[in-house]
Amino acid sequence: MLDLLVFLTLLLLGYGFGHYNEQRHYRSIMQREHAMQELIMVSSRELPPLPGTDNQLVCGSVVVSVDYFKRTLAALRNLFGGRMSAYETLLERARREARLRMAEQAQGMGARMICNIKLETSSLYKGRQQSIGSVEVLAYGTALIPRR
Amino acid sequence: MQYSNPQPAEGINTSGAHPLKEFAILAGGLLLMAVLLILLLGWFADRLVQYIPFEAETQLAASFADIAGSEQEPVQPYLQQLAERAGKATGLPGNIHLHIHFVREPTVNAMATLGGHIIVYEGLLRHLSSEDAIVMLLAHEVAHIHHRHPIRAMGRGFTLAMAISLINTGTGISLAGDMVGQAGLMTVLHFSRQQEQEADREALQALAVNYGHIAGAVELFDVLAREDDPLLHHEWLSSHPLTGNRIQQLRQYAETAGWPVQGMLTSIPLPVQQALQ
Repeated sequence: MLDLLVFLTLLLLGYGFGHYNEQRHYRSIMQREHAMQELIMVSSRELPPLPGTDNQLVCGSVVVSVDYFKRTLAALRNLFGGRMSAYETLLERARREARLRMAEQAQGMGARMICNIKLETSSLYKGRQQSIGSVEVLAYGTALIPRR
Repeated sequence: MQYSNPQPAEGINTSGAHPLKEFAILAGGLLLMAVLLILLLGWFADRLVQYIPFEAETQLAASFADIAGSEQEPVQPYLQQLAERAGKATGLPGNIHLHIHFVREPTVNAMATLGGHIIVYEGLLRHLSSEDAIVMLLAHEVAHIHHRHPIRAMGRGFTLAMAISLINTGTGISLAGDMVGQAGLMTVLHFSRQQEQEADREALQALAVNYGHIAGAVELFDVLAREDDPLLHHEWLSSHPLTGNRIQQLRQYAETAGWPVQGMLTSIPLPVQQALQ
């Protein structure tokens, strides 16, 4: 009985904090993406032939974990199969946050554009019985910085 | 070349379904499947019990045979004799031998286990003032043994453990197994409540055959009611029906069978009374 209570409490706490954090993070991502629209970001490998620019590597990485509720939800989803919605938001937030951090670094250098953007994902923690807990997303690209 | 940075629409990479709704559907489905599986396995386990000879149960229970506090004069022989009398009154088959163990501990409890072993704690006996009540208590445990409840419970316990380990290893998620375990426990307790009712009725029969009335049952349950654990006051959480409900059911049962509820209680023999003080 006690086990069940602990489980339900963790589930409830996980849902409450997880949901609140996710909403807050999404708001912040959207707001910052909007502010960052001036900086052109593309994934093409060809650098535009702009004279008088320096090229430099920029990167941003994010390590993020799901809450207990979503981990439970994902465990249940593992049984039945189907769209793993519990992890979809986690990965989307991680990708967008990593891209934003990379962009912030580039902006700090005075860059106008980032080319050849790549994203890499790795699961950091496989935990007990291979249940994935946290994920790292790394975004990197070539920043084009006008020479002064 | 023209470059631009349009903001993509939200909600392409994520599903709009509410996580709580998804959780309710998945968890509900899993619990439903688990309960069905456990009920099915439990039913099979129950069917198979009749093919296990009582002798095999005796072998399984060999380790219980040397329980501390056995064979204490004069209480143990007295209890043994009462239990055998109760068994005779309810048609206990001849191949089932009863072994009563009297344990000098303050625990207010008695239980039946595999191989016809019945353990009675001094704590409970001290509260009983008549032979009738002791017979009701013993007959209740004898009825458990008569209907092979201990080995049925063990069979169900095994199937439950098997189901949990199957789900754990099959899915690689201990959590799912935990949830199934919780659901399983509820159904196991439910079986146990049915068994208690069955045992109560048979014990009542033993009481009526021996004394012509069932006043002993009322005394026993009065004592149990006083000792009831207030934490377990939700029937679905406890393995036994609540004592109040039990008394009411027994009164109804006695009424339909035509057994008087009131009657002269037989006193406990003096040497036994002294040994219990």
